[in-house]
Amino acid sequence: MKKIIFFINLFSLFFLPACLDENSPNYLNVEGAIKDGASLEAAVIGLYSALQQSDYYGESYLLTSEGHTDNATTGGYQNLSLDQIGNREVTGANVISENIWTAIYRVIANANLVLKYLPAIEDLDSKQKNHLEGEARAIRAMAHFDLLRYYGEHWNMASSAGIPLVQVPQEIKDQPSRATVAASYQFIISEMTKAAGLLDQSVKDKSFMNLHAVNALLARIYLYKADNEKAAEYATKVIGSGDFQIMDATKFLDIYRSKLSSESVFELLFDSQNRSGYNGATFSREDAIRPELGYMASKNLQEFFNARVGDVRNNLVDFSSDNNDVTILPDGRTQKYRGEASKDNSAYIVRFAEMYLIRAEALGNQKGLADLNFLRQKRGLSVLTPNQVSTSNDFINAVLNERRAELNFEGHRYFDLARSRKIKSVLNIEDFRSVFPIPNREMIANPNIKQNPGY
Amino acid sequence: MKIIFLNTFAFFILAVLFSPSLQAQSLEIKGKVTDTNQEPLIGATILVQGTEQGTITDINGNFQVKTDPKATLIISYTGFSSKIIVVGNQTVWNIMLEPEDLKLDEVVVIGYGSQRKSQITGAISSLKGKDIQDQPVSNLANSMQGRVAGLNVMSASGTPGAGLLVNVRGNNAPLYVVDGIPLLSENNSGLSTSFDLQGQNVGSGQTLSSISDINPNDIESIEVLKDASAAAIYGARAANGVILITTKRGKSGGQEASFNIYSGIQQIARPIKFMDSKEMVGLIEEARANDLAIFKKDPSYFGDNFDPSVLTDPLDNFDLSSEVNTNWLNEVSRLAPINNYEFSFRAGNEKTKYFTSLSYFDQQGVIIENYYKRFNYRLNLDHEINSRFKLGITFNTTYSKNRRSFNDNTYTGIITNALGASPLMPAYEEDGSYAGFEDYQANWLSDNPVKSAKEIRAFTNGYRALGTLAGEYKFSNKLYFKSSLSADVLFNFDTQFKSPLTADAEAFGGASYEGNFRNVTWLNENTLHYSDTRNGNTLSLLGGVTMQRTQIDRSSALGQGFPPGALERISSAANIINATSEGTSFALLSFLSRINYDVKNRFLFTFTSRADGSSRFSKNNRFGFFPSGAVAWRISKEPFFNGLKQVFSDFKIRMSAGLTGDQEIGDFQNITFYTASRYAGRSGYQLRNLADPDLTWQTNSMFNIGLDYEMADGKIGGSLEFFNSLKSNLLSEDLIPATTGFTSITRNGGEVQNVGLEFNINASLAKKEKFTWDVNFNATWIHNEIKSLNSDGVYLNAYDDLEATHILQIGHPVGSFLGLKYLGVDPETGDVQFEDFNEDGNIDYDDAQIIGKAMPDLYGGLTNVFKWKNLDFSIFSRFSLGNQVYNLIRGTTENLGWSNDGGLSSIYANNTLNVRDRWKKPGDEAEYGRASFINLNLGLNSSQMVENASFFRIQNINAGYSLPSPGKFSSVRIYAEVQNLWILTSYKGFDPEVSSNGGLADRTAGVDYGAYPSARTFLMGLSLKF
Repeated sequence: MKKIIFFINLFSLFFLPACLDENSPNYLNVEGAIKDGASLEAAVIGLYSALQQSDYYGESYLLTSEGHTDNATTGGYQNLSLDQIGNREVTGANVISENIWTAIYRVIANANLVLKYLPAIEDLDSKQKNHLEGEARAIRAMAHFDLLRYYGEHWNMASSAGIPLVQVPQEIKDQPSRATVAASYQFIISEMTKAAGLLDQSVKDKSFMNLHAVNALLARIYLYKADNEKAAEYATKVIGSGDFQIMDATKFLDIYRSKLSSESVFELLFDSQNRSGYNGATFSREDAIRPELGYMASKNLQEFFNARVGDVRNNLVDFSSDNNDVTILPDGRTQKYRGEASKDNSAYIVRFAEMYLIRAEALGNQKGLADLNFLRQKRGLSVLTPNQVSTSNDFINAVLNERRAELNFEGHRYFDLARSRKIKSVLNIEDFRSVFPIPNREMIANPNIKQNPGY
Repeated sequence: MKIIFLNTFAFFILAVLFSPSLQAQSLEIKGKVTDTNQEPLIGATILVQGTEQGTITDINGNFQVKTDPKATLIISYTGFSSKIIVVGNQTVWNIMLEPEDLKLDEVVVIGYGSQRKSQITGAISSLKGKDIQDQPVSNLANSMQGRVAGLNVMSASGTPGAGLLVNVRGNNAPLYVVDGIPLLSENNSGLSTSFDLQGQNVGSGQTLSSISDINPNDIESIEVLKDASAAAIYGARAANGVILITTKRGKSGGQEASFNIYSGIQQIARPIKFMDSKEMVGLIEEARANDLAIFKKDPSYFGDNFDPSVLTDPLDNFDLSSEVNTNWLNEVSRLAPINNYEFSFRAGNEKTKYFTSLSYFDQQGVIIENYYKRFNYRLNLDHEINSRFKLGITFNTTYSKNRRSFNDNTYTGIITNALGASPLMPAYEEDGSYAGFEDYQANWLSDNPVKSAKEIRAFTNGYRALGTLAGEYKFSNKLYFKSSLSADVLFNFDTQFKSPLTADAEAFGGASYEGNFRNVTWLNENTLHYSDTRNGNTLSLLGGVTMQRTQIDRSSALGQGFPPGALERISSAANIINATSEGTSFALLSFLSRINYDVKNRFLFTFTSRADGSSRFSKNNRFGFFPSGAVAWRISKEPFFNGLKQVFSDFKIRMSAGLTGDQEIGDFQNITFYTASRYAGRSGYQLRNLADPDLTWQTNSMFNIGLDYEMADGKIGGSLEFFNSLKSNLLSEDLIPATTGFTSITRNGGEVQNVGLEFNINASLAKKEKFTWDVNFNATWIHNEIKSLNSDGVYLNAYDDLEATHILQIGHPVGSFLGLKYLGVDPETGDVQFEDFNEDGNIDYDDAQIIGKAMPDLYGGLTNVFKWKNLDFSIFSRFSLGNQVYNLIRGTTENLGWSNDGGLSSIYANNTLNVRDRWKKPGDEAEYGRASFINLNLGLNSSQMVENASFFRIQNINAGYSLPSPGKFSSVRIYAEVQNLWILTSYKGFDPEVSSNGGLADRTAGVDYGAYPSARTFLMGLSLKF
């Protein structure tokens, strides 16, 4: 009798430790997950999900930069981080900035896993495999560039304040230091160029990273780098592709009312299961009052549009007290992100109009005016005469104004002002605020990181 | 799983088959040894005089011995006077031993067994069921507060059924073991009641506790295991202490039915007083006048483009002509009834005993619409199949329904909105519709709080069954084997419907959430018990194997767009969005042992050990070993102590040391995982976490010195404890470079020390026939300090979207508040001033420093019980010193006329009467700064908002009368009770004992963001026994 019970328990001693292996029905061990073409594709889909994070292209990345400029006002309900953005006094403790930094590196971490396991995949033909590699490299390069725009002195090729370049899956003990700005650009451009060579040019789905998007992003990157020749070259590739079309002034609202319009080059889609934060942060509902809106269109933006008679883009900003609760005045609301029920507003990562603006700026006041006027006319404005933009400074200002009119609330203004060195004159803040500080958390966790000058 | 069943069934079958009756050799004596309360004495020695022949009693106090009829038996037991019987022809004996002293004879439940208090070597506090009976609270931990030294309980909110922050000797979240089943005690509702204005979750908001599923009146006793000697038998889950709850069981001989009912009314104990319309408008005008005066002196003060007309133009909605004067706290609160009905029945004979009870508890919240209802049924049954084999059944079912209060303790909640609402806004318009908050421009509001309360209908339904089938097989009087199979089955069903009228759902025509939670835990425990006494020395051995597996499944769905009528379920939605389905599981395998050696009642030794294997860790470091050792010396048994015997009737010194562990890191944290994601109609993988594969047990090395004493022949007794514990290998979220894609990782590292003293005294101050007076006092001093960390100085946020509120820093306690240091009001300007801590010339959040802490230094309780003839009266009070609260809601309710954003024709929120003490003119020495329309003249995350929350509270007063001749009943008692009668504190919020963020996180404890107010309760009760 005793023996029997003894044996039962002895039995459990030997066989039960095996019962301690539990498997999750929701999670997949990263080791061994990417093992064939199907799983590799799933991991690439995951890169887009990572771009959708609310701290990246799901909301914060774009709107935070707007909130830091004269396009928008924000803050005011005891959210210190939001107040800092609105007052343009961002510190290293800012939670929003901290989350943006992390979210972008999350995308990079996902991309690095794809690139690590990709070479061993055998059941895909080289065309498919190259395309997937191209998507991953391009997304990783875009993520690095987006970091550089926020946290690195992207206008100064001599600056050491670039960003940490992360090219392989990180271990906890890794503590990368910041590359120089020049090295950051070099990495971003070389990766983007490599991606352009890998992507299948017959794949034209604008909701995924595609060859046009890579060229468009390269145009943007070269413009930031002040390599105007290359910027114009790549913008021309996109403009000349014939796959996009600037819409007429009457139809132009379709960019924001429908998905994947003919003006979209790379548009990150959202749906009812994956909602974006744009509507909630900028519109929310008809009678919303000030504390319910994260980012309001500033009175300054209204004044800007008041001076542009006929500009149809003025219709995208609502300052009327009919629709707004008076507590919002004198500020207003952008109409780019409507859809209070669905909240599935896209992130317009690259739009076709930007290509004309890039090429105009890159070509300068002589050759560039045609592109600028083309867009102006499409948006209901009269053309500018060469006399009105006779100096390059006048022309740059005209381009910046056009960019502001076209791209407000799409996350460009802050970087445009920084690269044209106008942060101080336009926003009336100190020049060092052309970039955000490196988050304090990162400074604590990684002693190799140096803070941006001025912070 | 299969093995668990197999093991148990095999045992049951074998045990029944192999139970022969004992063969008599000579005269067989059977008997039972009990104390004066008929409680069996376990391990009492029966010795045949003049021989070494003898036995000891089993866990029911039974013994069998074969002897000669002429023999004399000596029955002895530690702490009791020995008894001598002459056998004669009597073969069945019921022997009652008289205790030597009063307190030390109590039976105390310990892990996997029970012991006499006098034999205990560890630090265990014991509470009897009657001490906590009939308290008008839903969660039994609430009624333990202040009654047990070393145990501190904080409420996240006063909402019925709410979760609590329970802290044993500085360690948060103890293990609850109810009748041997380690219980899932956390919040299982998937329903977040904490959203920001965009509908995103911020913090967990109001949480529930599944410990509320236990009916407090079913409880026989509660034991709190505090040191290693007591707790280490629970190994890997004992690092934060263990709370053993034992429910009532049947008794042999006779039967007893009892019926209890109480009924009462609750109100907000300490309402916050707000300005009426006139005073608020006066404050706003004062704020504008102050700003105008500054503008006239220095126009650049408010910036370049400042338009001073906002300081002079009449404010649209702030004239008093409407004569509306709403007291919003009154609008959202009420006098709320509380009722409890309970019937129980206890009976038994020699073979079968049972206890059964049925109860219904209904607590309406002091905030409108909110309630908690609970229905319990219990059956505890014991049956002797034959002389060797015994069965025990424990079965409890609970159904609870909780109407949740929306966004409790978050800035869009009913209470938080009510705290800021303008008195010029009515709750309803004249046509009976809800007043639209947009029309009255108190910017703080996210909705009319009365509307939120009525039109957001959220319910959590809990269904739980806890059951154990236990078998006990006696091989001999010295050896028995026990095996049990237990299940904890818990379902939750959550619904939340936001009507189209609410600001939260008007954009999409109503929104509905449904969530399902299912937990199934299986537990199999097998223990072998041996005990033998030789030459007055007793050796007891325990060995065992236990296996547990928990499987949790969750699913939820969200729907939007609902037709009119009461069609509020997901199927009625126009769009069904955001469906989730997830599962998780863990398993534990443990080997345990305990050795007790009692040397002639003078020296007591205990050694325990437990080896635990958990699925939560990788294969290489899956098993942890947790040993402990303890020794106690009953000095009063030594001859040299005789001189002191007149003072101390008993005196025992105890010392223990050992290790306990903690595995509570959540499942699947040791592996880097992908989780599913989707984009544009396709599914994919996305990185979920970064894991440390070397993750292992957190350990708590505990050291304890204790002293148990009894004086004046047992009239006074108690204990004194010193403890020093060091938690190391802390399972903590550590900062890592975010270039990995993650900001933190769960890994081992860091140490937290808890040092403390506990004092406890029970005294019987009067014990006369007609009058008795008993006093219990306990006090705990504790010092908590972080000794090391992987990353020092990590900021923590009580709310995701607010600035950091807490910091983990070496040399400071866990739960330290972070913020600017407030330097008071400048008497000349009325501006609030802060310390430039980093001396960079700017005041910003880089100047943040440690400005307080949530945990108390000293706390305790005092109970007085008086009985005079048929009257009884008890008063229970408790106190806490050194605890602070970060009262963040004051940034809203003491905003001094702020307009929320300069240039607007609105104000932010109403103000409390506290701000009457504000700066008005140069030279004023005021607590509050200058009223200002444009600037927020306060520091939210600063020591201005950190308050001393020390208190003295009269927690409970109970007065009863028992009928002298109850007629058909065996007893009839009527009583009246007041809970939370009075509190002495300088704290400005509703209650100084709050902890935001669900109250389950000690690291971010002690934040008040308009937490649900605690109630004062008046009740009448009737207790019948027959």
